[in-house]
Amino acid sequence: MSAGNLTYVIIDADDVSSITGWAGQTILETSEETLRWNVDPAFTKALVKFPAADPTPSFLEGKTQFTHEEILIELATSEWTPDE
Amino acid sequence: MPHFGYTSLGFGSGTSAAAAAFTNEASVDFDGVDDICEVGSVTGFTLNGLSLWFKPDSTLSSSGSPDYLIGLGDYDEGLFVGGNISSRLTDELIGFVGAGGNYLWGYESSSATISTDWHHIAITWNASSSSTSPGNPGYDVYLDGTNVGNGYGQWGSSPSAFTCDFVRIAARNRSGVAGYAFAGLIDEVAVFSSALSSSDITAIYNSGTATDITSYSPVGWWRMGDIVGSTGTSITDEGSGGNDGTLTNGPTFSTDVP
Repeated sequence: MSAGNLTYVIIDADDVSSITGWAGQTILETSEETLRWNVDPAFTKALVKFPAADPTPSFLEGKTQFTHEEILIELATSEWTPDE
Repeated sequence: MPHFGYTSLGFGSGTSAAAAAFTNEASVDFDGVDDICEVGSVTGFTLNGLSLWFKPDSTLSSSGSPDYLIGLGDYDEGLFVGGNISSRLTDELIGFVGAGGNYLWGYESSSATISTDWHHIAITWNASSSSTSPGNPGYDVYLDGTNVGNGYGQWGSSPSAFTCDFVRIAARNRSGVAGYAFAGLIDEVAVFSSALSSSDITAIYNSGTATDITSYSPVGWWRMGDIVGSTGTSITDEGSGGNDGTLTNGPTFSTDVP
């Protein structure tokens, strides 16, 4: 599925356990172990994605949704990309 | 770092199969967010050559953020395009990081760009005098069949071809954590224990059309959807190493090929 047809959502670390049951199905991330996390060494935020044509998984309702273009801009910020 | 974890590493079970007639009908589309093809740990070999095709989602320049086409070790080793990764070089459009992250060979240009068409990159070890470090050994960098390497920076001494013991396609690896993911299509990824000559690279580039590289005896050759029929999440290794890859976090197959 083209990334242009996906919806991306940033979730808090507390929400990560909610992925169980969704991962590899509606949520396209393979598992909790393969999530992308923010730069914060405490790993406070992570990313998930799902097909835009699908209903929003219940644990993601009310959270900001990003298009592929929008999430790439967000990921370029210092919260997600460090200075090396 | 822009990172995401991965824990399932190990040797694949693929086998080298003699292809009847070479065809290329598939590539893999990565989203630049967290999609990767994870091969993981491999039996160490001296990486003297690398070849792959890629088609970025957007035009690349040295002013962007580096996107790793392939990670080849535990600490930043591998090939990236489109952006500075360190102060050791400036204006990196293509960079290749060597052993321990201590060496960087590349193509620097403040004005050149890489378009959203298919492109071929080859890296090859030059034991005498590389274009990236004239008079010294180093990796030469070829873009679309032309040796474009013109820069070298180092943190260590005595650069040498490094031992590759890990492979991750479409992102960097640092201590098991992925980052700097590539957005676009990747196809026909191959690594070699022998250096590729200029004429080898001309033949592999083949005027812009992917071709059979069996005769160059790749240690790893991930055809990115061919062989497996563009289904599932396994990417068969057609090289001698037999280290299959696993599509992770949802990359998809494409029929757009070089």
